Amino acid sequence: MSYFGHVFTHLRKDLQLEWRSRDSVVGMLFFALLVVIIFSLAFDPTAAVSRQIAGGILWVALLFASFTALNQSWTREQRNRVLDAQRMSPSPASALFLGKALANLIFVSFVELVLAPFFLIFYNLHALGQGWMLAVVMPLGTWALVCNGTFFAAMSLRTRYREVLLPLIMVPISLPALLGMMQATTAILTGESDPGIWIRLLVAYNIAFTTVCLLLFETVLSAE
Amino acid sequence: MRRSRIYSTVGLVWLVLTLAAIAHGTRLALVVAPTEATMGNVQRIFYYHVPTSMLSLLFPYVNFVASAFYLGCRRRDPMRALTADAVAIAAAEVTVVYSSISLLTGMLWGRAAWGIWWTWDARLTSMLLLWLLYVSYLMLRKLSATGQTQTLAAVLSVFAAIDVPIVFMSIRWWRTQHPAPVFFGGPDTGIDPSMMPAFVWNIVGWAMWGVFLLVFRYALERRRQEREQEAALKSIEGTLEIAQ
Amino acid sequence: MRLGWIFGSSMEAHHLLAAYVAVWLIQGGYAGWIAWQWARAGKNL
Repeated sequence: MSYFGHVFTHLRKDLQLEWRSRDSVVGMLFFALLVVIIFSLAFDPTAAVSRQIAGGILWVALLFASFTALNQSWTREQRNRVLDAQRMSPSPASALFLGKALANLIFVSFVELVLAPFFLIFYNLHALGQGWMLAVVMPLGTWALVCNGTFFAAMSLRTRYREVLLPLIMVPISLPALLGMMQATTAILTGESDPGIWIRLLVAYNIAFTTVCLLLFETVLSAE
Repeated sequence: MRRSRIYSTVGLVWLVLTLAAIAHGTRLALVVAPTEATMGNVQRIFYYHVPTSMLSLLFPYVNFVASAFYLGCRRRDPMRALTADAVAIAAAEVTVVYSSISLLTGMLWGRAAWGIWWTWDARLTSMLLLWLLYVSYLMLRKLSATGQTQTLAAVLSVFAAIDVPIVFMSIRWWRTQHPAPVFFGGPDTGIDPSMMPAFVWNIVGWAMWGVFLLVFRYALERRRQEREQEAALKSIEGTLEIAQ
Repeated sequence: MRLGWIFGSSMEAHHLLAAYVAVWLIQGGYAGWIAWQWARAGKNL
């Protein structure tokens, strides 16, 4: 089977498992919604203030929601001895990583799509800048979170304090990307500055770290 | 063992020279260097702050090179890989120490000169993020399962090393778009020639101290590794005796 | 000693003194920690 055949197999497996139980996506959705509501209570923003802070709140909500889902996606593999099977199979480890990262991308994107109307409602938002660019920023930002997140979740899989370790090691590495996605979103919503430089940062960040993740995943799996 | 005698003698001599250099640099900084016109005596914090900040940018690369060595060697030559790993953790801890000092002295200076403890300017924010990266490295080492620690930490170190330039660039762009009060003056402020001796002696002294810390911490880590291996061997021998 | 002004009452002087002492404490403390761990690792198991 070709490399992308392997990737697609892993992707399909994750999608099917999620479709049957739907617990991960629903959990993420609800968590993100709660974060949005809490920030609303905290700041009680006017429409103008909302535009300044909504970008930050959105990505904070997605970041914390994705923590809940990322660990769980790997424990599922661990429970079913998939990682041992992977070690014995001829399929490259990076295909497993890519399939899972793509699956997580789909799940988080789904959460974003469902969350978007709630965002517009709670914060009375409409984009003052070029709204269509959100369609560029959201996938780029989501991939940055999901790619590193899937990788670091695999790293923290067999450690104690798994839930604590994932945010601890993921957030510092992801800070430039988080800065980029938040600033780009805010720039688009407020129309006050040009999101171009942040989009370029996200592209460069994604290229660099996707490459590193693909190259080093095998090392992480066989870390004993 | 004569070799360890040589090592400890060299180490002691280095330590004495280092302390002498630091003492001389400190004296120059506090007494000999001229008082700065606008900022007054508080500016003398610079003689500790700037060398420490510059040095804190070096040790992450030592950590990176050592980690890359570890990842390359760990299958072929486990003994050498262990050495590389000891260098890696030593460099990471020294990075955290130096960047902590950089942040702390920066904050104390800012408080005295500007009345604020913190500002999200490019340099301070980048230094904070550097500090966070290597603290997270140390946390990973502490919290991960034994047997995996070294490999996982080495992988994280690669991520961190790639991230460092991205962090500095992105924070700079951020602050160009949304300027904030800048500590330590803008890009044009240079060093007056009369301040150079104090500055140079402090860089030399603290660099020598950093090397001392690195080697000392490395030696400690090697000692711990040896103890672990002895313990492992003893338990294996124990099982062999029972089998007979 | 010409350093008497450091122990003066201005905030500047206090911050300067605090900065230098903090550096010595942190650097010395870390070196001391290494030395302590070194001694502990030297004892027989």
